[in-house]
Amino acid sequence: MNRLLTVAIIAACVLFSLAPVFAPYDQNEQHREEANRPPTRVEFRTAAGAPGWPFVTANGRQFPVRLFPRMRHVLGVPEPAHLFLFGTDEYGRDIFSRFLYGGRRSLLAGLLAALVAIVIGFTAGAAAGFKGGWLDSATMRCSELFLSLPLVYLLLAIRALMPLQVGEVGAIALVVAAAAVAGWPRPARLVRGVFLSAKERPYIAVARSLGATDAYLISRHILPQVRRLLWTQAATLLPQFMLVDVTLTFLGLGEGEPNATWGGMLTSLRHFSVLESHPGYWFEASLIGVVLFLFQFAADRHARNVVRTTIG
Amino acid sequence: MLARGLYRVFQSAGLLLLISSLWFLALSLAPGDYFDEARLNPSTSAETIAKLRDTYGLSQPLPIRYGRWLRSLAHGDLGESIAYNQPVSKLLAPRIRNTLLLTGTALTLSWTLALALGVWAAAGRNRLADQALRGISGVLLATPELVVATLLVYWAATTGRLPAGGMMGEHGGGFRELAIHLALPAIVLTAMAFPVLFRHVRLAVSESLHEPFIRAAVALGISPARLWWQYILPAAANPLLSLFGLSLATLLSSSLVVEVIFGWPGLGPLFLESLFARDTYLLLAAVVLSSLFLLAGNLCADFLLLWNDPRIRKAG
Repeated sequence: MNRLLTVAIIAACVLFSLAPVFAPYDQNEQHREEANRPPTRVEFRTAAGAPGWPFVTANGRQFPVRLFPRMRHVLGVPEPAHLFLFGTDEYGRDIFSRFLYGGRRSLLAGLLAALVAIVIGFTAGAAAGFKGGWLDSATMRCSELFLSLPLVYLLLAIRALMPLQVGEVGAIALVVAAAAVAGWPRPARLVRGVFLSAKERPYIAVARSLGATDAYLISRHILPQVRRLLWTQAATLLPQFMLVDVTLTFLGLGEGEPNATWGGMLTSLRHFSVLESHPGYWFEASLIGVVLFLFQFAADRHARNVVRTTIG
Repeated sequence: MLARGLYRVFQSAGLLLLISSLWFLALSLAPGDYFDEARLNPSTSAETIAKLRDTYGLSQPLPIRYGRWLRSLAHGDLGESIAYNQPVSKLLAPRIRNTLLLTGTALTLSWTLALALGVWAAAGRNRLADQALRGISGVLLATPELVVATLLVYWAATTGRLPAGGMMGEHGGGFRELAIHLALPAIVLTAMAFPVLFRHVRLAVSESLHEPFIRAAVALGISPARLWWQYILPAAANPLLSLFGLSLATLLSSSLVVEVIFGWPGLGPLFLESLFARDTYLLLAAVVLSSLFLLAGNLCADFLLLWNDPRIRKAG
């Protein structure tokens, strides 16, 4: 089960981070004549019924699916045939390609957010645990406050500071800012706990008596103890902030059209025209749900395993 | 105990002031205001817009605006909505009622379920059910509710089994209409809140089950009913009462998104709308009110904690 999850997560990461390679088309490429098409039928059997190389039928002719048809592209079919694995939207854009590009941007936003939250959380937690005193109590009160505030309201408050229209960079910066405000408290509290207990240990006193500096103590003796904890926290933060990115774009507060976003794809599910002209759209939406579920589920499982192995 | 209670009330009031001030600052520093869009309209002259901004006090410096807003807030006046041209309190009243109806239903449902199932799972009579419940809560915890809710709306719209949004039927309200409109959003919210609550209930009860004083009570031959109601559950209640406040925060936060998805006419959609329109006073009022709910919930949890635990009472 764990191995299966790991493989799925790695596959998803590769697929999304190399979206331009795996997507047959660019996310914004429009095929005006081909709007609202159902998925292209890819056939694996010849007319005689024998299994063969997959092909696509267009204008009564058969076009084989090509591997590496162009530089840096994995899949494609020659014109005038099209390869719309999930069909097209109302502008004739390939939904499969948009799904991959949307995944790439949510993944990027989630990774940056997790990184920022971990860096701030580690710094704050280490300072609080190592120095103690007023710094410690101030950090802890602060983290309690941010833990108890509702995340979506916090998100909207940060959003209110920005202009109404934000571009790709602005939208990702928004997710990162949300992580900087709401993501750091939990890692900070855990890191603080480790530092608090570590700094009282005899080996720290011995190292200090031998002339070790604070920086040396932290990097050599305490950091190895929190490394695993930081990884686990990062794994939990990643899906959380991917979901934040999807929520923001869903509410229309993130990046708008034309670039593909998962939130935007989910929003279009609520339009009557989509219900009418694209009945299969629920599939793409569910796939987004499945990917988000996998990331979160794997992170939860990982966290529980870590707890089980460290506590015994 | 009274002193401690008063201290908590004052602390909450201070926090409320802090939150609203931060929001006021954020909104004032943000680029643009409500009349930005009017400026694009060639038939509205610059003088008209300037006059309008004067009327709504938007042209005054920040400290003065903030002072005036605080003073009217102290008098119970939440200001006027620029977009709706109505007093904010009039706009918010029905929205608050609807949000409370939805979150209240979800809160009751999720806590009832979590308490019943958590105690049952912790009692450990049925290993299989315990495993199954833990599995289900693990799956629910990882499920992105935004996607599930959207798919539910799609399902409702295509099959027509349940209304896809809103709160009233064609012929207005009535209990039945309200119930079927409430069903989907309330189920989604309950499913979001349940797994966390279930895990905590199960953990707290199973921890208190293994306390030495429980074994002593069993050895003394105390009846099972008394054992549960007077020994095990009160001992497990402390962390759960603190959790109550936190669960309110998450519920309020997720209710905003769920309301938008299901078109439930609560605070959520209004909040979003006023954010888009830069309808400052409406937005601020919504922030203050939702913070008020949150603080009131936390305050309730604190008082329940004081009531439940004599140790905290004495220490305070």
